[in-house]
Amino acid sequence: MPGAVFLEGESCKLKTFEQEYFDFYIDDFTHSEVLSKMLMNRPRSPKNMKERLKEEWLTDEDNIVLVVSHESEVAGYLFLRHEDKVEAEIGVLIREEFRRKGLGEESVSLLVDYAFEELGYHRVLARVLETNTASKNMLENLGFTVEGEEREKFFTKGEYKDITRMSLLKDEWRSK
Amino acid sequence: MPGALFLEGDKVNLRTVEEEDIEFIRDTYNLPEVRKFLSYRRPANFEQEKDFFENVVCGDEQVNLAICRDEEMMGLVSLIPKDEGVQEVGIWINPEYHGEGYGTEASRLIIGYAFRELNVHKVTARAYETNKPSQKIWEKLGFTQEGEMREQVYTDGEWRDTFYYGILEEEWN
Repeated sequence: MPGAVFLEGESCKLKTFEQEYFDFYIDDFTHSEVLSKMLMNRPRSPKNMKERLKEEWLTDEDNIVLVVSHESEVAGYLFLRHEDKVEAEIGVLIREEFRRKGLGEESVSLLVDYAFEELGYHRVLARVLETNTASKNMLENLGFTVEGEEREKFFTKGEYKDITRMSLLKDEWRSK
Repeated sequence: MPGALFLEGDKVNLRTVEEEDIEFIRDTYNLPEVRKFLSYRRPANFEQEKDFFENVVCGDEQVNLAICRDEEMMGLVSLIPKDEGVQEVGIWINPEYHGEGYGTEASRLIIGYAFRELNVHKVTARAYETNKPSQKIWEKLGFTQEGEMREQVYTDGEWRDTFYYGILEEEWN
């Protein structure tokens, strides 16, 4: 399996995102269920997505994407978007068949630690659809605090939904 | 196929870096214990390392050589032009091969080459305060510590000092 190991946990490895993962990624990011979880509305054509992946993820130093690898399989994707020198926003997608194994929590915890200890951010932000209780619980387990709602910010399944903003500070992470 | 032999030592030899080496460079560069001593601490995938190979390794400015034991690549050593007549040496070695004196010999080879063939007047080096093995290399090779930039870099959860080293042509033998 391609990709260099960047961070390693007990049940997953976070690997560099390589061209060999593109087809997987494009497949995963075409399902509407997944898209709305990731706060996106419209699928893109695979060709368009490939172009964007090359531009956005392969050369951009502000955005980090890593592949969550579990027993040598692609279990999901992790994102860290640079906002400013204080804050980075984290995002995660665990693929359907790899859920409920704690992979999301473990991989987010690895990336959060990296953001604080290696990159020196002061806070990490996560934005979650209000109905996505699984993600909210996982983030709360890691010490994230709800700091507000973006009211009726996202339209899905025929109605406007809030986006819950959750954040974690470096000191809170270290004293956990 | 390994790169061409460029400089030969007792324990290591320095070879040209070839396209086949990109994967090893990527895999090593992404290791936490390697990147914490380097200035770029974000994930670097194959495409980005290929860019580095095509633009930097194959470029005219720097000299980048593969540190090898026989034909097996263990790390990378570089000469980076700073000011007129001044070049900086940089090095990393895969942790599998640490503690054998390979870094010291590889640095000695490339610095000798810089003075002998490139007509360099001075070679500089940098090491974070937490990077004792690197500091030892420069001390062993006769470098003088010229400065200490206070809390110059964030690594390993804290702001750390960076030590600056230098050696002049007439001090090198």
